[in-house]
Amino acid sequence: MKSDAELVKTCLKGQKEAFGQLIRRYEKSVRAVALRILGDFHRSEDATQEVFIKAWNKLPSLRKPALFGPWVTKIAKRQALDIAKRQKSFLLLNPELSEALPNSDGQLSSEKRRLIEAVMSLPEKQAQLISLRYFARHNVRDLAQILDRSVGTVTKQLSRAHKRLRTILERDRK
Amino acid sequence: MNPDNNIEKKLEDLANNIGSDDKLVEKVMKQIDASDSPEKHEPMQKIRRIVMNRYSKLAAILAIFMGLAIWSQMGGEVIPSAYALHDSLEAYNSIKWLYVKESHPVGNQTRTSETWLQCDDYGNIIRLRFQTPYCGEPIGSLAIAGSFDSFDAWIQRYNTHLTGYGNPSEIFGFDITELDPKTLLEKLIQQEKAEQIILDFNESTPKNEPRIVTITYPQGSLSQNWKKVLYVDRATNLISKIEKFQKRNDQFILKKTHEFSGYNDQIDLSMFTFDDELPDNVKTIDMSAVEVGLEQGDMTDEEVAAEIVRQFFEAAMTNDFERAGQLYLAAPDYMVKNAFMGANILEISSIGPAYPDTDPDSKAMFCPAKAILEIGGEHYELTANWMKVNVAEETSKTWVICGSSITVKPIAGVN
Repeated sequence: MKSDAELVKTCLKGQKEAFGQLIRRYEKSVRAVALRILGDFHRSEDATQEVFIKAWNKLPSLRKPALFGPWVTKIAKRQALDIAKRQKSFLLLNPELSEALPNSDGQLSSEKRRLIEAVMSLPEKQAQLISLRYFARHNVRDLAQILDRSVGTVTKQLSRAHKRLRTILERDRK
Repeated sequence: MNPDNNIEKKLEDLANNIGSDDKLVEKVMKQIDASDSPEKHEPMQKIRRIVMNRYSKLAAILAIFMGLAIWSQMGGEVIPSAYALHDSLEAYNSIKWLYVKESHPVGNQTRTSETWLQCDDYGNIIRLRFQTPYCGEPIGSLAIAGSFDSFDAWIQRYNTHLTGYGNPSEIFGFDITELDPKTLLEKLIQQEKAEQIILDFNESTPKNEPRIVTITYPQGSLSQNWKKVLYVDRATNLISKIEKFQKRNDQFILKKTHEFSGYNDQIDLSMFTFDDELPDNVKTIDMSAVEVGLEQGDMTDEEVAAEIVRQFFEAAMTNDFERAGQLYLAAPDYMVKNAFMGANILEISSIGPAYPDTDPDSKAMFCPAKAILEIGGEHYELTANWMKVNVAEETSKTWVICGSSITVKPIAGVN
């Protein structure tokens, strides 16, 4: 299992296959961000594609290859906001309206959107860890390799991220 | 259920709900392949693609240019002229590191700034750090570190660290052609082709001194009262200095000087981030989700410039400093509030008309404004000789106010 930094460096040498691995690794994280902002599966699918194309084009400007995850998530946030702006997305401006929308028709339930929001409000590295663990479904051993940390550190960091997520969700409920 | 298991289950459910696209990799790769030109072997930034396209377009122009420039008549003597702008342009292809010092007079003082640039294999900027000890009120000292798609700004006076996504030169309203000679040269070659500038090559300076290229603007053009002088090193073809002048009362007055040095002297990469530089108690504001500026919509440039200035004063009038800050450099509300120093705007007396900046490197608009203020029970007239308004985001044509020249004086007979 190659780390993000290794994959980015390989991409920069012109080997596009490595970028495919990064796409698979972060597809769900990017989709989650797009979904939270756009509130719609179809538009978030298009946005995800655009985000990775943009990321490929901007890869040489990535200052820290190990931070590919947080970086691509930021691109996703910006891209989704741009799309929402262009399409005059009232969902973004009127969260109450989005609550009322049926979740059976291409929409994510408000509870799940709150959960994504909570994940995205975590410190960058914790959000990356949660995304890789649950969205990309990597086990702890893989995570340790991807993030170039020890298994023990990853376990502790995951536990802290869970705790923080619970606090955020409980605070939101109040 | 163990709380950890509960949150894990929620996250797993969420992951199942997000869905995925089995063909995403294939679709993205297809688009990447389609956008790859034969000369592109690595992922490239948009700016680099533009440069490559310009090269191909330039090939034909340069062939003609070279033909015409082989001989030029100078001082009654025919001498060979080996130099043309494209020689410098080519020289910049191998430049990876560069230091720029800018100075410009403001009243009796000189303001300075420094910029460090890192360029990629094609000589285009990939990282920059800009810093100035004073960039005017209310900000004071300012440092920006960034790439073409993200930036960090450090405003010491407010112990504030802004971080965001976007082109720092657009957000902070400075023209990158002023700092990057390569981008400038590309622009000049295009402008020369479109007959928007007049180039004068002076090869008659002593051999140990730089050759001088003077750029003027045709009579009747917006920038007709401006002049630029480029000092080009004879050995390397790299630019060592650029002076920019504006004509006032038939005399050219020096407005700005950029000195370029440190070519290919490697810069420590830590210069391009604020890691370990910011105090522990710094206030960090993520600007990526902040609504910035005003979209142009159907308004003309003049109209949008006047409208954003009007909205800024209206917001300040109702103490909506958050909105005022969004319109003024996306500044946090407490900075804008501090800039007004407890003054209440009682009335907006006039706004506009807006007019374009004549500076050849600027796409900004200027808009004057007047307002009546109350400070401590006394009335004052605020005169904004100009509020500078610039496009901060090209896609949606979003404008922000990026500077102002304001004077405040008591209103005679009222206090």
